[in-house]
Amino acid sequence: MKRAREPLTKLIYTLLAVLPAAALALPIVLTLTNSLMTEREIGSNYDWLGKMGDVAKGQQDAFVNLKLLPDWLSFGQYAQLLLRAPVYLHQFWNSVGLSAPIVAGQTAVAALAAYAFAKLKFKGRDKLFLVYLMAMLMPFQVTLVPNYLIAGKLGLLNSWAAIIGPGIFGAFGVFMLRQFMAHIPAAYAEAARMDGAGHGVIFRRIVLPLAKPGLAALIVLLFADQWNMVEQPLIFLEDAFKQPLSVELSRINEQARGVGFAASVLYMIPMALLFLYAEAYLVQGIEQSGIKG
Amino acid sequence: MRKTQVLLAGSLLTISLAACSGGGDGGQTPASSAPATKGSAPSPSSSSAVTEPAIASPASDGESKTIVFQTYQYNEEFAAAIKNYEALHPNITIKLNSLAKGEEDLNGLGLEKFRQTTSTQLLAGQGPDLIDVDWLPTDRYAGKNILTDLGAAMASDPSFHKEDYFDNIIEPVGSEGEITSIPMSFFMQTLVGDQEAIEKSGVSFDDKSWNWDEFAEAGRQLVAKGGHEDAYVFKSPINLLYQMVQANLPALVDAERKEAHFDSDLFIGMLNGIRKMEEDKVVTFDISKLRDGDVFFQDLTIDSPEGYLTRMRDIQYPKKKLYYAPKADGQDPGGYFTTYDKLAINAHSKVQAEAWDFLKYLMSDPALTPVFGLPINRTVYEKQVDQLLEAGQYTVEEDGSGRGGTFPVTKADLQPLDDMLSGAAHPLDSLPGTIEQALFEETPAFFSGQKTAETVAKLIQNKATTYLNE
Amino acid sequence: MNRRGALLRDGRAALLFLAPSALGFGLFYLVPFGMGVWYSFTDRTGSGSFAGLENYREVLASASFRQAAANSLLFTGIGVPLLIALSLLLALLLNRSLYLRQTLRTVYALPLVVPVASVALVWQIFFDWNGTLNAWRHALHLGRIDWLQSDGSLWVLLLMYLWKNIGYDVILFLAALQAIPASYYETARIEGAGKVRQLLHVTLVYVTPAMVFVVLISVVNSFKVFREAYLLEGDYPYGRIYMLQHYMNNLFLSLDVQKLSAAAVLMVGSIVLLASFLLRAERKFRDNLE
Repeated sequence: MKRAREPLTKLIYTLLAVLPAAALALPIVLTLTNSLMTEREIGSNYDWLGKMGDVAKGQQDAFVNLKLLPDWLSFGQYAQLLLRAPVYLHQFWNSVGLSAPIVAGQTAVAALAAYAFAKLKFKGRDKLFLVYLMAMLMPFQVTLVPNYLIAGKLGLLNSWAAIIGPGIFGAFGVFMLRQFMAHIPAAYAEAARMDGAGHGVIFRRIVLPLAKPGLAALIVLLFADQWNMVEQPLIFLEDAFKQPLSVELSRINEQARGVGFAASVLYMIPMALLFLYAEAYLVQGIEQSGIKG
Repeated sequence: MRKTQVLLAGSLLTISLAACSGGGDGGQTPASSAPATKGSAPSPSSSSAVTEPAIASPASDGESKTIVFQTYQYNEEFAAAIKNYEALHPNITIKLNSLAKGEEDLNGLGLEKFRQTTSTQLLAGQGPDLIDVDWLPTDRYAGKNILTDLGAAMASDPSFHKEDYFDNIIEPVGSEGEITSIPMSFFMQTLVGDQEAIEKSGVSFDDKSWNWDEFAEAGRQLVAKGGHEDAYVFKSPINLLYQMVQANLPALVDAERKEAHFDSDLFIGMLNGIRKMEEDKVVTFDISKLRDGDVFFQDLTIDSPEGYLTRMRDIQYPKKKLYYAPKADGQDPGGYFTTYDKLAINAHSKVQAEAWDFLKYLMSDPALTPVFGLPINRTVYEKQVDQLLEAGQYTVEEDGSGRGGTFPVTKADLQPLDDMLSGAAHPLDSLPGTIEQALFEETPAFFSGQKTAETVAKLIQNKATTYLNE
Repeated sequence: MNRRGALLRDGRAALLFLAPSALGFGLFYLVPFGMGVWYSFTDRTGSGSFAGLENYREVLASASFRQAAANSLLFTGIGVPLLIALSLLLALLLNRSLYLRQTLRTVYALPLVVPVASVALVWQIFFDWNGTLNAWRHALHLGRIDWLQSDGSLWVLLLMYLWKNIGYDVILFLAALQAIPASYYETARIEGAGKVRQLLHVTLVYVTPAMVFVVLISVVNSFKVFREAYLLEGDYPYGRIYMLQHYMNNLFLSLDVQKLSAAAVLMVGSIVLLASFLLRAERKFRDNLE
């Protein structure tokens, strides 16, 4: 806290962080600026992707034209997207409808389970945890067929429940929160226990507040994962109008790269907003959460 | 510790229960699929005391049934045929599931959905009853009891008359074992030659057995004798290579020993050979020559009797003759064809008999003249021919070139086509999809001069080897 | 002893806390997992019968599986340590007082949200035969390289992986850094520890629990790079980047679920081995603290 007071040090460290950030941002900037180009400009820039100039017949070498700034600003892609292709908008809300319950549900369910794994001692705890881990690691190609059978038995096929159900009970949150809760110093809980608090109280009053950075991180990462889901909805949801936008945006349409860019930009906005919001919690240290060790 | 054991035992129990029920699902057509698994299909004459409705006479008992028919792309002909069929069989409902719903599948999402969904359903022992398998790797389904053996169904169904169909297409030479899919239509691939110029040149060849080297040699001689600038015009070097690879498949892919030989002199020779042929004017890829070309041969894709007449009329030779495309050494004689809309029946379908009946209908409905290609049903084809002959004329639409008009047609005009169809023997799509794709993706770099033949050959070799060893 | 006894009596509470998760998890994950394992011992889907280790024998005999496993191991072996080192450094940096700190943090998180197709398209623009990279090489009179069809493809894929996941790990590390009580640093300072010692003995030590998670999730995410690779190069990419995911996806489309499951069990088994090693190390570490 004291050490970065010197503006020069602070500047140097800032520059150190800016350089990789610039590299990371490049593809995003590219997406953003390309979304403001006309389809024609995009066509002329990227026409050579995946094609071969016929050198054997004396044709010239051709390359794509990487351009960061559009010749002139055009919002045509966005107009196309919002006005002429309502399915995109519809699928955008599907994405919200699918992701939100999964994130909320998994966070709640996982917080409870993680408390048990991290703060309670019971027989077979570590082995059970390993079982969670194993099941989480199984590639989806293997679990797809059993999941399909189960969803069929439960009558969930072609409904959002087939996605949301498994989403809520994913082990990712359990695993992550367990790691965060495990190292909340035992002394905090011990003190409360001395005062006669039960596990419900300790969980609610002590562990949850202390795990806030972990919870914030979980929500952000979980949302990012769900927001980009592709495989499950592709198979479990038959109707295109039930599918999230991520499925549509999972493949390149060479005829309409521009609209794809614009859709991607719109699609990034909610996540960016969520991150800006969660960021405050993410960096909220233990000292700020009201409990001193 | 005990608690863990109980817990684990409990979960194992659920597991095995689930596994059983999963298995049960697969075998829930026990009557048909248990004894009938391999090579029995819906054995129509099945006299065995099975509780299911007799397979040869489906749905006569009036019980209403639903057949799910899954295709990648929506096809209006199928939709129309379904309507007709449902009108004839009021107790049958057919649900057409096209995963690229009507629209064009520009980004390939529909195809991915079709492949993933269909695979999942088939593995779950559920899913569609009738499937368009054109886009599925059925070459890898063998021995897994996924698709019904239609060969057995055809053999044992007294109402199915093999001679009514192009059985040389359904069961081409060299194909062994089960027939798991039947194409609804096909295209013939042949050559048309300038008979007069060829005869005048005195160059002799036997197109029934010639291989690509002999073809190239004949082409060289023809060009040397003069009369035409190039010997042969073809769509693209890649398509030509594809035909050569098809012809030489046994020498390039040994599925049994899991070996590929795309790094061999044979394949590299093909790549360089095509370029050499172009240099020698044996072949040109300038497609503007396709119609009025100053060439001895051009290739002809035949999709219908009328299409055949129209294309032939288009070609401006004084005398035209059909020739067989070159083959590999030792390959059986016969012409090349490609198939379209291959349909298969799910081995776990609960309405196999009904699906088979509908499939038969699709194969024989004269109203269902395939838009793409020649019908698999010989009688339907003959009907098309009869109609043409009855009318005694056919119309070529005016396209601004002054070639349109109405022209007479006689039986003699169609005789070469008849012969060609009877001589069809070699499917042009027996190359595993993966290798085909590698071929189409990697070789343009060679033909455009960007990569060497050896580099390209090595890339294809690696992919083919990976595929064969999975 | 007294405390230990008290904790062992948590059984009933544990049941309550675990119940919601365990029920859903059992249904949607454990049962499918068990069925997958069962498939790996059968000879045919559905009505299959027990086939012993036949599928495992076949998988291990498959040259393509061995190639895919080696590639995945190489990729994960290079990618995960690199990713973790970089993101930990960046997290430490972002945890300081910086100008534009909030903006910077957001930028690092952004790659997480870009839809796959957009990402793949951008990578294509750079690495295509006619792409920007080759345009630069051409300007320097160097020959073109078919990046994704050369041994360099592994590095291209690593770059994609790092780009996509660095924000992921940075977020995790940032959260972990916040969880270290400030009092620990104070104690260290009072004991006369310098900045380096504080980093080594407080920061790195207390980040360890999160590290276990970060390592495993980075391994899991290293398999997810398949989606981008698949979009760019299809089912059969260049040999160097033919990963376990390709192998398994191809087996799936071939409806060869038995071999697929066997391959998956082998893969999961190896990761679990790594995980239990990490968890044991973590437990030791925790016991040392208490």
